[in-house]
Amino acid sequence: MCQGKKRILIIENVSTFRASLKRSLEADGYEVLEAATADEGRERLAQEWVHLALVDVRARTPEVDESDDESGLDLIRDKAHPSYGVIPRLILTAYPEWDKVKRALAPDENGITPAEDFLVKGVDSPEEILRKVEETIERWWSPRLDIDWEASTPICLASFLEPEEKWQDGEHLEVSARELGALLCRAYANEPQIRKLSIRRVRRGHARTFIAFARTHLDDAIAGREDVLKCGPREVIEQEIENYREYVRPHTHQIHVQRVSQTTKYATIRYNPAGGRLGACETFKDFYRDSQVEEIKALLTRLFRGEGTPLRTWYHERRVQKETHEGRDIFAHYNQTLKVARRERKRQINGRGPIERLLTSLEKGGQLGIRVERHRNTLTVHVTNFGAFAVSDFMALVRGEKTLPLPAPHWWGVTHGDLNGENILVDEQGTPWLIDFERTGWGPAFRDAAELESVIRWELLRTNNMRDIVIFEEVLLKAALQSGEQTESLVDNNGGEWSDDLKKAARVILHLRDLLGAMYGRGPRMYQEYLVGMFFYALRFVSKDGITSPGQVRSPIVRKTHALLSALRIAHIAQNGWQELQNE
Amino acid sequence: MKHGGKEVLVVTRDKHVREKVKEWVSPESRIRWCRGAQDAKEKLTGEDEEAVIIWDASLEDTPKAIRRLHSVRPEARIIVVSPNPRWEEARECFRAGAVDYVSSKMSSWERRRIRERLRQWLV
Repeated sequence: MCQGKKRILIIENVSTFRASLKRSLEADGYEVLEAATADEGRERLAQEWVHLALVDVRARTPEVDESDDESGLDLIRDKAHPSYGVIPRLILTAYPEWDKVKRALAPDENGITPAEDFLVKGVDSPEEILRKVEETIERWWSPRLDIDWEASTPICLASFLEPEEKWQDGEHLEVSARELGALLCRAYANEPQIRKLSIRRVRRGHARTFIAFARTHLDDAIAGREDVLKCGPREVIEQEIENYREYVRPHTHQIHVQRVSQTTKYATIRYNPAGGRLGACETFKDFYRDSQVEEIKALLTRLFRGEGTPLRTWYHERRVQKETHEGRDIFAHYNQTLKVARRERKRQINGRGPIERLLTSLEKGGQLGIRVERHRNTLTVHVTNFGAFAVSDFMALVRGEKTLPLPAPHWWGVTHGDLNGENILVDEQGTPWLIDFERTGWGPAFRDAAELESVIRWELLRTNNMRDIVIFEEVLLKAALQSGEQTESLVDNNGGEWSDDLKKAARVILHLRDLLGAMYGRGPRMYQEYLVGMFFYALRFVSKDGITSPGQVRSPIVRKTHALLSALRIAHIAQNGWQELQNE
Repeated sequence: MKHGGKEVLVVTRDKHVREKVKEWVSPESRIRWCRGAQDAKEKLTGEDEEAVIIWDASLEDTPKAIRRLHSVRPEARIIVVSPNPRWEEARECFRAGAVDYVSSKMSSWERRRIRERLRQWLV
């Protein structure tokens, strides 16, 4: 039940009706505000908080009902108004027409209805109007869903955020569990048969968003479907919806944005992968750990080539070569979107960011594969057996002050933009489903595959043996984007003493690259662009904080050193004009 | 021919409504026809893909039919077509969960609008 006095705004141009309605509502315990015109009401709704607005269709001129006046309808249908989708409205009229009913009550493309109901003066009794007011406020402001959060799940959005972070305009973030509950309830407002929502898994996303996996329940006995909910700041969610509409929906029937709900600051998207019949699913990371090589290969093939998946269309159909100047655009794109330079700058301790700190920590007794030596005041990195270059030059690459040489033009295409191991869901039939389209759009064509490879290499690999890791890196470098048949022999010939884990990773990565090569060609230029992506994903991994992966036996320092080794190796090859790859 | 796996289920006995619906729905989309709510329920049960349902308001109690159809397919989008649109009926249909209510004698502007909506939902 709602607690406390509820505020209602009446936007009604006829003073006698307005006064009568006000008296009835106040007698029923509501606090009532008034506006004599739609313009006045528009301003009051934008500035004052109310629980409900009663809006007359014809409210342009005080005391006069003009037949062409639809100012009240225009107000409630104004999507740019801050109250749209946030404050419920009841529309009032003495002149009902079916098309006005439709314009007031039909949901928009996000599933939001301009008004909750349409009441007719002189037909609906004062008691009926009061009943509707009470029912609307109760439904809107008192969450009717029983939301069941698993014990390990954080209960409110604020727990994902650092306390000192602020919204734009200097406004502090304040999200209560109640507002979050309201947000989730509204996402199911058009399905009254759903009684309960079980939030079984929650993970943090980018830009103060989170993704929750929810199972709907029709009643205690009947389980509904599996939904994926994404919540976050309104502008972030709105961008994701736009991305979904432009880049995903036209190319697949498999993912559906069911509904959007919003409060003043936040919004929620509700996805229904597989039409809501996803059932038990796992992330790609979990699937990788539990599956054999052939199963993982089959999944990747379905992901990139399966009928009806967006990746198939993006990679096969929408590609363009963009004329850029010596790799600068691709370099800048990766550095900006992955925030490599920014993170290196913002997370400094004693003047050094995480990448530089790791590099310099290898100065004495460094790991096999990377050795750092100091001669006078110059630090030099030796990538074992492969040459050396100055730490300062490498850091200039990290900071974006220099770029890796990369001849134009480069491949750009529509990509997912965040193809990490948790945005790929795998159902019980081994079918992959994509979620989280916040970063979907045009970008370097190879970024998705590069990110997925980086996940396998640095997040899922379990080998601690650095000697084997160095050989592993070299095998992958030599393999380029060759076909699977050619690269299998590389694993067989070089990985004789490797652990099963390393062989599995190598085979899966080479299959991934085989898929990419089949789509874009296997030439050295393609591979160079691919390696630029790998370079940045390696750096991003090195500079990330708080790396944890359930079941991971490699320590963060080993994994970061491995990633740094990979980045150094790519930088070394590129610095020498990619000659080493062309000699293969 | 199916387009993107989605199809339109049209519930009507009226030849005029059938002709109108054919004008709205693009040739690539699949249309299935049935003559009442029970028939529609049977066709919806067990289907994998989401549905758009076009319901002829001259059939049985439309708001009740909408609720029955939603009990089988909660996510289905139901458009009501009425030969004699009335505000009371429109209101009840929206209260029951319809997403649109159109007159079968619609204007060319309205026809374009409904075509665009169907195209977005069926693609």
